[in-house]
Amino acid sequence: MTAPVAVRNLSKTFYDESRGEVLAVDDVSFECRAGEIFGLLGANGAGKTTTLRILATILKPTSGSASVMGHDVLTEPEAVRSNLGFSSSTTALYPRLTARETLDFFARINGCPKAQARERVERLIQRFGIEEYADARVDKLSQGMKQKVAIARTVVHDPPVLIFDEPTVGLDVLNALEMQKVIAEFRAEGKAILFSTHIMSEAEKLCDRIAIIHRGRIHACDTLAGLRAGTGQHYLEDIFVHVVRNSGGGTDPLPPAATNP
Amino acid sequence: MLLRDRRVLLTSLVLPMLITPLLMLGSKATIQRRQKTLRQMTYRYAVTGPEAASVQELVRATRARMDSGSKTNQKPFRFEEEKWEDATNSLAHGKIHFILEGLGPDGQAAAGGTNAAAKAVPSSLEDWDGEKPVAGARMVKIVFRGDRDDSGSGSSQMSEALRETRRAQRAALLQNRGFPVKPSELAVIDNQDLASKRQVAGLALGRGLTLFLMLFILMGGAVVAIDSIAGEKERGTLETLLTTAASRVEILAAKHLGVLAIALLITLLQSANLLVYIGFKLLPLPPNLSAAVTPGAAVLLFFMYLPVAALVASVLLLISGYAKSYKEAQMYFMPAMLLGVLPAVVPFLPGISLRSIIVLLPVANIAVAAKDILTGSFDWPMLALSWVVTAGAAVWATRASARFLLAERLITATDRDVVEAKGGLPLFERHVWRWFALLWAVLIIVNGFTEKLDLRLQLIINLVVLFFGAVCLMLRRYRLDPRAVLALRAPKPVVWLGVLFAVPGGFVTALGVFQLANQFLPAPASLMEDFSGSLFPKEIPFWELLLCMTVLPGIFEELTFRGMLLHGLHRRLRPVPLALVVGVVFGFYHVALFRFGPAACLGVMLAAVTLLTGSIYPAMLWHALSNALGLLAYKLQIPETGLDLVCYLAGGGMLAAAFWIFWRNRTPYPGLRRAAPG
Repeated sequence: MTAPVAVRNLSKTFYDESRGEVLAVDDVSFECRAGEIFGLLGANGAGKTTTLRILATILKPTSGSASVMGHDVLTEPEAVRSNLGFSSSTTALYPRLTARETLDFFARINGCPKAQARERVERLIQRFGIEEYADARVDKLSQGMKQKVAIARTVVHDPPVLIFDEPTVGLDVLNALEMQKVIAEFRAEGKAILFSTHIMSEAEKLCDRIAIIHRGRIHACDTLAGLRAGTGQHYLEDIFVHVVRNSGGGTDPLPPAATNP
Repeated sequence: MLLRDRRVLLTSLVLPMLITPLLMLGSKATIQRRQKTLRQMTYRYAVTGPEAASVQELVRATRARMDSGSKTNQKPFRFEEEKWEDATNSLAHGKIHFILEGLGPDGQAAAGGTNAAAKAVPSSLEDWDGEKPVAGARMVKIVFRGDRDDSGSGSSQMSEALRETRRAQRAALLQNRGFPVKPSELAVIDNQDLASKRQVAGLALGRGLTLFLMLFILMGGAVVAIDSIAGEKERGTLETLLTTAASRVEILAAKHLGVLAIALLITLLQSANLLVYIGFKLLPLPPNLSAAVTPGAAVLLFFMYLPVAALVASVLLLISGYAKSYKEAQMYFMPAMLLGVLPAVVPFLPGISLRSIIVLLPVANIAVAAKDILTGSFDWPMLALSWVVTAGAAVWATRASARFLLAERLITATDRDVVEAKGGLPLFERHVWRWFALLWAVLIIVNGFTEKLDLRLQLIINLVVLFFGAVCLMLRRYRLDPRAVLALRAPKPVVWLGVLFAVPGGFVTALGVFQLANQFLPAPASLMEDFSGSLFPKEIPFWELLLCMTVLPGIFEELTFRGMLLHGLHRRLRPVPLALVVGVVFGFYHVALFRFGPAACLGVMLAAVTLLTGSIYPAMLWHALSNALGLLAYKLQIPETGLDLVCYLAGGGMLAAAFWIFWRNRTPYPGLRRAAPG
């Protein structure tokens, strides 16, 4: 049976004004199973966001294939997206909508019938504890509140696959911990979760399996225990440095212009 | 959501609602005030020159005439003479408004009024009641400053007053000399306007209506359109939106409908706002306006303007999609607004009719159609065609906007994608439409300047300079292989036999298409005669005409259409649509509407033969011979119209035989999206 997320030999080439063609994602393959948090760990510009954007059908792969719940990203993009919740590194909310309207809008645009959408919105408002400010305009909310609304928006249509692209960037410690707790809860619900981060402690705590990505290539992919055994290092930070140094491509990630615009 | 944004409310609704009437009121008040000031002013002048005394006499007579006339409500014109040593200097410093210079016969001669100088009479000396100066007559020269309102106004009023006095003096002189009747009794000139008041009002309104509405639609839609893609990019919400289950087309359709609805709403509100101002008599109501806009006309106009609003919404979204930020989109808006307004002023041009090339120009055609509707002229086929053309342009622009939503540059920071970076055929395929749209526009403009030139020169300019020049530019810009792009390959020898069948068959078929089209869109006989006259000028020897009209189009039109255009589209369209599209574009390039059908028909056949033989040479020969056949038919006065059914059947049979030969010996065009049938 195909895993909820399956990526095979995925590559993506960009054209950069100064350097010509740049291979942002280079022959990447991995799977993410149901009830698993799969971490993509890499420095800024390593190719994490590009990979996730290909899975979200925002970018097209140059070669290789990727599927979400058995739907190919190139041939069935709508079906892919209806099975997907995508949370980018910024909260990216409509400032003039209230929290409730935001959730309702994304439930409806993702195909939830009106009655079901209303029920789910109310349930998520309670679950995330945003009742007090559910009817306040989003631009009046604090960063932590916005992040909660953004996460609720990501799951409002109850997708089986969730993608979190550096979700704790810009959050204080307490909000980041809250976020990690929520993501762990989604795993418990059986969702397949792709989680990209450059924060080692976060990956160490949350991820069931971790892929270390550098210069567009995955150089190691295993459980934390497997990585420890394979590298002889204990801390993920040391494991990461060890893998990158042994990758043979230098330690500098790709410049942001090409891979993390 | 939109209404919660004060910026949007203020810029797209409140400000225009206040500013537009205020601008109109302000402008009207300023003009009225200026006119009142100029009317009430007492104009100061100096009298100079050797005939100053006679000028003063003329002025006295004028004053006396005006004083008597003032009892009969004549317009007051106040003026007083001032004495200045240096009148010119006083005029320059604004101490006086004008100078009356009395010139004797010598002075007049110096000004060009004598017989000796009659060849060079300045135009200003000719408008004294439409007569040329007579030798020996005195002259009053009014010197003024055109850069000052008061000076210009005073001089023109004085000029009119003196002229009127002279008319009165002349009439009195004639009567004193025994002329039996007053000059004014010689003949009465009267004008009769056959247009109804409604039509006159309709013309006045129809000329400016599209311009007004375009401004409202553009301003109303701009804020929403810019915010809906460029604004989303800036906020980062576009990425989230594009990861939802909605398709790109659905997202774009929703945005388009949103912009369209807001633009229409704001246009209606602005129009209602103007009506309120008119209701309170703050703005004058154009006379007979209500008669011009009947309920039926209003409904029809609303229907006609829908594709205009849709096109504006699409173009605004296109700009919004292209721009990387809100600011950049705003920067593009001003030129777009100017370009959008340009076709809306077409009804102000004299003699523009819908039965011309204008019917193919989006927005301009609706502008002319609106004028026609308001003047009670309903040319239904042309109205329908105008609507279809503008709606088609709106669909095209919407599709282009949808492509922007698929483009990765929306999300990534890279300015160019790999296709743009590498250039070559893929980039040419992307740009082919804009090249041919530009070439068409240039052709129309150039034809406007060259229509009076010798036909041979016109053909050289159009076919060699424009068409071949564009072909060379395209080949060079995209570094294309001329042999592959222009299909410069030798066909199988038997294909030439097919061409010999195809020429008469295709010719008769194209005539049949013309006859058929003429049933629906009859071309006026005068137009046909003019066209024939311009195509077959008697001063050009027939062999030269034959050479110019067969060889040049055969080579250069084929290189352009069956070469560049066909190659630019061959991987995007399947063979049948490809041949149809190339033919239709070829038809559009034949500018006159009645030529569209036959030219498009021939274009489709020529594209088909190129696709079946993989070579451009058969199309070149076919095109040249087909034109030669048309010329010979004209020369030998063989009637081309009204052929009987047998002729059409025989022509159809020959064409079928030709295509059978092409089919049996086909060498399909390389790299087609799907191989040629069979």
